[in-house]
Amino acid sequence: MTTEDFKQRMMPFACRLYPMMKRILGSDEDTRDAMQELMIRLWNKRKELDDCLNLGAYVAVAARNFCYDVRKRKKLPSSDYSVEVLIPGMNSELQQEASEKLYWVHQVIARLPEKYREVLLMREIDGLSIEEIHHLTGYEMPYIRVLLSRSRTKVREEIEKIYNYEKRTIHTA
Amino acid sequence: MKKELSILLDKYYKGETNLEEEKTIREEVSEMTESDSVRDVFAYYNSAEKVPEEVLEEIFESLEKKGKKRRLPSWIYPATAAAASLIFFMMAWGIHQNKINREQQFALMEDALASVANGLQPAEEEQEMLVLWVDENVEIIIN
Repeated sequence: MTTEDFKQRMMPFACRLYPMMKRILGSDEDTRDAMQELMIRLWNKRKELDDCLNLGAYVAVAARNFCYDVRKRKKLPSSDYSVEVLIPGMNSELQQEASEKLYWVHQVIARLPEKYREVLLMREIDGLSIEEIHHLTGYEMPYIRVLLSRSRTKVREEIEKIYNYEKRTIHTA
Repeated sequence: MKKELSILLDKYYKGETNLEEEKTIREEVSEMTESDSVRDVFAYYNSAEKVPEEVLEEIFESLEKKGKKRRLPSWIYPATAAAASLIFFMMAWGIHQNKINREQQFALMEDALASVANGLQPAEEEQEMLVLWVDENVEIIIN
């Protein structure tokens, strides 16, 4: 396998896993370093990758474990699901209204219990399959579907509550 | 909202959709014009930060450089082993030869010193004797 073949094969996984890695490590700099080191490790194991039955799950598990190792080694604080992580351009006046709505969604997701939030973000932002989430979290696949169902419903209900409250406030005013 | 989308969304909230169906939902929802909780939630997921492509390009570029540095011809490993063995035997042979040479030189030096020592020994002096009496039965000699 040449480095070009490797790149073609790994690029989609790298794109998909970057947000998850950043959620664990917190900063762009640490995430880039971790991604680089992870790719070197996978390149050194490239012969094993050929025999891998589920490459996506293998790479996702390797990335997650590696990030937790880095966080432990560098003694990084546990990354909270902060606003800066996901909503660039929050301060732009032009996008203020849209950003405000995104901010509410963000707040609702941030308040979900950890396992609900984790599974929801893996699915909605990282685009991972149920099987990949199962490999990453160890949860059984039917349980993952339950967690997804509850977290999606909870997010929608909470957002609707906020919108209804906003409407009532406007009418009263 | 279209009926098909409504059915898909029901499935979605039950956690029963697959990735393909979720992609369809996202596409359809993003076309909705009126502000809606569902649309805004999906807008949030779509706004999630994506890794800039140049960052990944940079990462893979550095990997390529490392790969090139490490790529050595396959014959280099047995050749290195053979060269190392040869050097080892040459060194061992050299040490052995030195040892032999030193033994030979030592023996030669020993012979030379022995010859010198023999040359320096004083000649044995004949002892003077005074014969006082000699007959068939008695010899009287004084040293």
